Amino acid sequence: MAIKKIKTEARSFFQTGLAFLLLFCFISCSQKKVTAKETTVVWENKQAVALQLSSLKIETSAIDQLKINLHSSAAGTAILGDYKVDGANVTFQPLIPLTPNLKYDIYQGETLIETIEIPLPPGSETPIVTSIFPSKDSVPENLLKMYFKFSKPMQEVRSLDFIKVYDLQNDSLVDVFLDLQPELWDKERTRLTLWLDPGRIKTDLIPNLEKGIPIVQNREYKVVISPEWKDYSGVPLGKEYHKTLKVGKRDSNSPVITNWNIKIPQATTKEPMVIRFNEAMDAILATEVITVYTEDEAIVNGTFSIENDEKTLLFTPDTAWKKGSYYFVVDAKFEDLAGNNLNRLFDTDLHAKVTLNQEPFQKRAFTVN
Amino acid sequence: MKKLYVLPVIAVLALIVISAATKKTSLTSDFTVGDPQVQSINALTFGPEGILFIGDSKSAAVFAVDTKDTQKPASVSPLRMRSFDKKIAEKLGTETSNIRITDMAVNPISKNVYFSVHNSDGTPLLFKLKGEEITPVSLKSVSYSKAAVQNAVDADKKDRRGRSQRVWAIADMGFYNGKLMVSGLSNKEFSSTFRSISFPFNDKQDHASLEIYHAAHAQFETFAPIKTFTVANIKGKDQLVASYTCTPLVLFPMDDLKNGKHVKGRTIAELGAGNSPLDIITMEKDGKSFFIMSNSNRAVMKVKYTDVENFQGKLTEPVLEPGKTEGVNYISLPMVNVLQLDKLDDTQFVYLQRTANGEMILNTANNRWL
Repeated sequence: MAIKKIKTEARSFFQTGLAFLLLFCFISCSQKKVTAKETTVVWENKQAVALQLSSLKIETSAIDQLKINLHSSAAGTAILGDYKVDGANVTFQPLIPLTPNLKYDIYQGETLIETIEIPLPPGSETPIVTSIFPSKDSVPENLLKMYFKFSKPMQEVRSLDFIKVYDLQNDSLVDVFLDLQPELWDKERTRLTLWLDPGRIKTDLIPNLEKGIPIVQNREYKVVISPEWKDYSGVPLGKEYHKTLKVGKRDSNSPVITNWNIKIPQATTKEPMVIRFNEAMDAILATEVITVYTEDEAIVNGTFSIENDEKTLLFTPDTAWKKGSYYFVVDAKFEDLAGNNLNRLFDTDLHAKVTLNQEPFQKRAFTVN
Repeated sequence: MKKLYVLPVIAVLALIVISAATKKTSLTSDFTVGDPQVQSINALTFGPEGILFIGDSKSAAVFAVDTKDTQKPASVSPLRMRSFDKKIAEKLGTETSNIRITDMAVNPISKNVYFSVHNSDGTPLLFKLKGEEITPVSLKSVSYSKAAVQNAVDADKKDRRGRSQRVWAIADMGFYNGKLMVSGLSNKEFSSTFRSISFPFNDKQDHASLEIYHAAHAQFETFAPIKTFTVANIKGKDQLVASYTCTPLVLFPMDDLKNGKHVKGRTIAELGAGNSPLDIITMEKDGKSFFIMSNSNRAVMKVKYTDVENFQGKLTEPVLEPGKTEGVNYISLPMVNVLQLDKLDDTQFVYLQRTANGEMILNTANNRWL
């Protein structure tokens, strides 16, 4: 098995082609066969991006006699891709990478030349589930969403085939997440967002009346991630991952920033400013929605991290704090586990005549001594 | 003397021939030729002149691609293909479990069916049907233009740090009256974006915030995402017919959807349970128009626009009867598990369906269903 890169530049193609033409004419003008030694899988970024067909004797003008199909294809459907002559080798580059553990038949005309099985990528590491948010097991009955983070980009088209939820009261499989297309992955495809069916969470909506809320207070559920789920290169997780949900009462309160407990750091130190939310907040938004400013409206650069089951946020400045006034600004979109943000509840009863705050950002001042 | 006339005539003719060979219409005059570097294909829709719009969530952009597929067919034949996903998978050298058909769109001029496929490694692919032949459409060298859709919401709100690089998963697109409309979902907040983008693309993007009333729910809410939509003329006014993830069906007057404006929609139906709308199209028969909507967990629904017109109310009181849909009347067509839907012509629509035995078929519904 060789790790090679395909050379497709026009110049090398012509140069090599010309060299071979001259060589062949020198030996025998009637001889046009290309002979090579073995078939190799060409790997790129841990994916089988091409086959080098080498154990063939093929006329350079007869590339179109070659056909590669899935071994399992009853119709013998030719796989879409490009054949290229690169020196003594014929390279087949399929439209998408070949799939590990599948067999492929290589035909020259009607003759089956070889059947090759694509192995798992060489030197590949098993992907792992690095975190599941919310971190803590106890969640409100109206939990809105969960995040699943992986060490590598995952196969993306059928996530709900691999994430199942069981009601431990009767050990039954339950339908909790909204099957949404497109799936909500981050750009790197290492973090998946799943919504618990919002139509069922919202009081008295028809989905809520018909099927009830997705998870019920005082019950326990087990979220199971299948070991069969593969990363982008075809390597499976290999082991099952679990997450328990212990369902508590409904959260019907918006986060209020004036209720947050702030530990103010000392001047001349790089101690973190610690914000305690009094409840678990959205793990991903938490590190993105807050900005710290000096009195003069200059942004204080630093890093955010969460701890204590997403109940606490730490802001560590790049340079030491100075004595003086600061403030931080919070995007009102910041949500708790139930999707309640700073301005409105996820499930608001308008008959309660609550005046909704419309400010896109909220502000809180603090002084460093 | 004669020669003096001949030369300019030849020159003019040559210019006509040259300009015809490199024909650029006013819509494609700013297009460039090359690889648009599409990273994902979440939604497809056709505009005029065979221009295909591609919604790409990963690039947070929409692309307009000149397919040059503008040959009108002599007649429109119904399409019927069995084992559709299996045929695609075999052509790609993989299994059906590794691919998903993300959208399907019919070119309104050529009537050719285009569809996008995602391989599980993230590779987006575009195909076109030539008869029953599934052929790849290469995007390596095409005439195209591009508009970014990222971060308009945050930019509006002047998040000076610019940290929140929100990924908007493009849920649906439609072209209407010179504008490309895009609905999207956020991968973080439970919120929605809906914008209309002038075409040919320029810097102008309208971003209206839409407010809907959830029947049964005694509340307005502005933040539920639109999953799919169509545009229809109802009582002489162009209206956006939007279907939400929690299945209310809402009308918004198109005239009201202006930048920065907060618009209240009229909820005309709540179509029920554990369900996500998938596709919605407007059809006509005998001078009457209606829309057809496919759903993840319900049969395909048909709603007459006359019923929508006659439904004067809006659902502002709770729906109290469990298990019922409320609002405008609809007819359930005997079609379940319809995954993709698009209009072939005014009397036919093509659809992708997963049948009871698990087979995926491409089929054409004719006038009889309408």
